[in-house]
Amino acid sequence: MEAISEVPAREVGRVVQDFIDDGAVEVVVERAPDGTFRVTRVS
Amino acid sequence: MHKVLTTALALFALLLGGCKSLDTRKEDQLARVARDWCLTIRASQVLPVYPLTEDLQVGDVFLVETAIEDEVHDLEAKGFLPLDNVVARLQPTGWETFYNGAYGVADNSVLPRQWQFPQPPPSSAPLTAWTTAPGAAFPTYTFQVKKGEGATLAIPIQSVPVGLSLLQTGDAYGMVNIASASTYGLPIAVLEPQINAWAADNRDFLKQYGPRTTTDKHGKEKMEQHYLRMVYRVYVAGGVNVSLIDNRSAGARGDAGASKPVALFDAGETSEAADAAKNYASMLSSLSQSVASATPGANVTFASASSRGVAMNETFPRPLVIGYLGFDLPITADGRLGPAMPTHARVTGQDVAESTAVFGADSNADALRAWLDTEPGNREKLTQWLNTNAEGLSVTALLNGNQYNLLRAKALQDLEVQ
Repeated sequence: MEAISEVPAREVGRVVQDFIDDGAVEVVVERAPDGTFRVTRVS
Repeated sequence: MHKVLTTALALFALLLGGCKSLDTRKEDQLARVARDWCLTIRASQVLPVYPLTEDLQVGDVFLVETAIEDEVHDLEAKGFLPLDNVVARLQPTGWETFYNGAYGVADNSVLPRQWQFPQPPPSSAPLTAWTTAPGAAFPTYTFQVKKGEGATLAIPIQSVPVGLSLLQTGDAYGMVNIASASTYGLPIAVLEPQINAWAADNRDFLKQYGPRTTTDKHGKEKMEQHYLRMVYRVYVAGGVNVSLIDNRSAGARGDAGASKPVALFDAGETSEAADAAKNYASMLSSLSQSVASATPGANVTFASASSRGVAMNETFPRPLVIGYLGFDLPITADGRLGPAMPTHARVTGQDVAESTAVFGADSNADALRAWLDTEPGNREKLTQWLNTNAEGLSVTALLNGNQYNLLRAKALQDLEVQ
């Protein structure tokens, strides 16, 4: 598993796209209490 | 005259060479014994502490300056990682929840103080309460020593020189069994928020140790990344059981040379079994008392002794830390901490379960993305570059991780991205 934390909302799409370009099949996006997002490559 | 001078110089060079050779042999032997000891601890997936100390606790934080490849080299060559730059000692919380009230750990417990200095203080041995801490066990450590080469100094326990002196040998085969071992610790998930809170209060201090590029002696640029290493579990030993067997007795026994002044037990020459047992117990007791009076500070008792070998139980005055587990957190350019990575896994090249990078993309990340889109082969080029310069790091982490800003700049330069 690999994750990028504290991602601003406007950057989430780009990080997800980077994971997909890296070969990710499943990516999870979670909202953190501070309003940023954590993007995790699950597989 | 010239001939005399040449001979004198040759003799001096020979003497110097001889001394150097002896020193090198001694150093080699010391290093090898230290390494063998440490490898026994490492074989149990624990990072060794050398020399042994009481003063290492869960919550201790060290600054690690060495590059990962140098740390791997240190670990392979010496067997242990130097812990020389202590930065802080945190008093972690969360013990009661983790141990669920067992081992005498309550909400207000201060570990390991309650085991080191029990209240009320005991009036007789043992003076500590480590026996109530969770137990641990280690495999037996075997070693070979040659007294003339100074190996005894490298063994961090006193029984070995005592045994060698008693056997009157400088060439022995030995076994060390770590006795009365205990352990305690906290999970990384409990400690990480606590070290992050400490880091938030000490950001200015940590900023000094953000990543930077340096030039090595060959003129090649390389990344220098500092880490905070936090101890999350320690292993403590109350003593050691040491067996020493005289290597000279491995072959045929003979009486050549002077007889030994200490008459050690030889079962082969005893006829009455009852008398033998009585005499044997009395001899062991005398030996223990004799060693105690001759070497103050060494709490050594004899379990068995013969003319071929001795077995001793050594109790440390206070239990000592022999190994630890830790995790490393990279220090970012702005003085924050990156994701926690287990030290042992990192320095032994194992995969770290999860890698988390804090977001912090910049214009270099945009330039790299644009370059990746121009040609399909560029992703492969970048992957190969990462394999050489930052093994294990993904393209996504490189593009988005705050701590990789210098690495992105280097990638742009090396790959000649416009």
